[in-house]
Amino acid sequence: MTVQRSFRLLLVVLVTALVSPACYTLIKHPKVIEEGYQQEVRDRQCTNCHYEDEIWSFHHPPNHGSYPGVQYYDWGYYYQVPWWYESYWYYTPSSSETVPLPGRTYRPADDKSQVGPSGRTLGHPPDSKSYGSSVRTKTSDKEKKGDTKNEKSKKRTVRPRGKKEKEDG
Amino acid sequence: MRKARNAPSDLGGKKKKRMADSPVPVSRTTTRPRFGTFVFAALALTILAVPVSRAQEINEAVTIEDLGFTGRFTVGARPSALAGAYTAAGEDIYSLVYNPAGLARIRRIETSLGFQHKKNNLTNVFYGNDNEVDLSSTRLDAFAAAYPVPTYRGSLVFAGGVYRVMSSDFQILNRGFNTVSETFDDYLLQQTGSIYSYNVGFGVDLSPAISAGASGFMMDGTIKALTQFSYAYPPPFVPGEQESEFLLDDARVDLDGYGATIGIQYHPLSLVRFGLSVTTPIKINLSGDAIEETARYFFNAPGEFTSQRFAIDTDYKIPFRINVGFALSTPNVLFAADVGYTDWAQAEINSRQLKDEDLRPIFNQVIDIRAGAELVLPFMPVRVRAGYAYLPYGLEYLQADRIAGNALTKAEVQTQRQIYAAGCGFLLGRVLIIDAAYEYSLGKRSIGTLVDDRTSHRLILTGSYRF
Repeated sequence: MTVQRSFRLLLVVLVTALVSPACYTLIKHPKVIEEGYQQEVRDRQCTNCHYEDEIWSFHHPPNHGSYPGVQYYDWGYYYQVPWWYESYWYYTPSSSETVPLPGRTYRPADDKSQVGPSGRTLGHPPDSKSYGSSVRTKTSDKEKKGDTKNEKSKKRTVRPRGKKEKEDG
Repeated sequence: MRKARNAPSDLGGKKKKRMADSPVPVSRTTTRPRFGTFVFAALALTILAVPVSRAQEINEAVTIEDLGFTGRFTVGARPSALAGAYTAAGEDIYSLVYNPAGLARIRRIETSLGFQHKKNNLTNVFYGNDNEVDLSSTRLDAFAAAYPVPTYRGSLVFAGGVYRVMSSDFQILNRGFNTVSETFDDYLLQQTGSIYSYNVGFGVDLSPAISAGASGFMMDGTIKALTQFSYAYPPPFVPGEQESEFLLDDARVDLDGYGATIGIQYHPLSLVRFGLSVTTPIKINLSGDAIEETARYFFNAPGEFTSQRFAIDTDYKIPFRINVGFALSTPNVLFAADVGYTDWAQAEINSRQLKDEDLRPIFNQVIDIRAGAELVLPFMPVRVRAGYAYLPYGLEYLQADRIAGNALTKAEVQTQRQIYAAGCGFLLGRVLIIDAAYEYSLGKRSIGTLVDDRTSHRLILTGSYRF
């Protein structure tokens, strides 16, 4: 009976954690409020405002633990790359090259303006954490003045080491 | 002491005794008696009925074991090769069975299909006479799919699948001269059946270091059990005295059951994982019928043949189970260990626990240990693994004479149940993993007149594709 009670309690905690807005896992992007402007993010344009290694860390926190063999062959692709991941390339440590994902067009690492096969435009990120096409239009003037974050983004990639090696080469 | 040489008029009592000896328990009535009737009967028969009742209940413990309820399988080739140490190490679709929290580590849509081939060997030394039975079967091991929901952060994965978690494939042969009853005994049980578990569940990241999950499952299966036995008295006979009796019992039952599993995985460090999973008590119902035919022969007198149909409707409760796991996952080596606890004393048949005349439980509390290691070969897309499991018997009793329906006798365990496992996995084309595992299990118990020596070989082959 005690075990059943404990089980029910654990189940309640689990369900509560799931439905709680404080849950770590985010299915829906939180609203972005910047300088009195409120925009709901409806599309996956993560790289507009987040660096790719930052996005990567959302799915693979540092202490999340490794998968056996991810640095060899394609174990890393099998285990680690989310199927929805919005990167048009991934890094294979064995070859030190970027390789296009199946069915996707290769995009050079230093070009962030190509249109992906899904039709989404991946423009330069604004200097603020605002999202959406209307926000991009709004911040286009700022981009002309220079975007320090964009400069940083050229040094970042999903797999920092691979990206860096490519750029060094 | 000889078996009672029953006169034909005593057949009813004999039959009732035989019902308790059926491979699948036969309900006494199809409808439950009214409570008042039950109380009156209980008061009237307390002194005489309790010892008989206890003996019959104790016998049902053997039934639970024969049906495979105490021998839960490891499913999936990779978990099997790690001897089932998957509570913390699980990170694929098979986590749905071991610890649903491991589902949260899946990043791609996954489907998996597996088959298993098993060969059992049971050697019974019945009153000094060796009886060896081999039984092989090839069946579906698992078919499952997992869908990771696109997330902005963390992980949420839903999964469903069907897994072969238990097997009721079982054969036993007790043949020899029974020196206690002074009869030539020939007992044969042929039982087939798989118990599949239909699971649905999810895993979710609750924090960067904690994943949790839950799954519910329904169990389904069909079990066929054919029991044939005969016993014959040695001559000389006097006219009218029973010479022998033959019985054929053909039972077919549908199995339905349900339960749930919840669990968490905790990653305090990048290389270290802990896991905890709890499986609720599993409620199982067997319903069906059995046809029993009996022939009795008498010396210089007409024989007797009877045929009866019995309804079967029995409820079982398999106790809760707790697993605690640890995994060390380095880039090249994975080490995993699990400790499981099941209080089999809480097993029930028709809402009653199985206890002897002193109200001591027939089943034991069991702590089992599983450990495995996996090595990644850096020069080719292959991983090799091996595991070992120590699984003490939940039932340390044997039934010396299944024909007579003797109460169980406390057995001496020569070799506790153990599993040695090994396997490998190949990654093909970035998206397909072919895993294979071989499992060898053994265990040996004995009482003065019976030795129960069981070994099995199991081969599991699975393919997992990630989109």
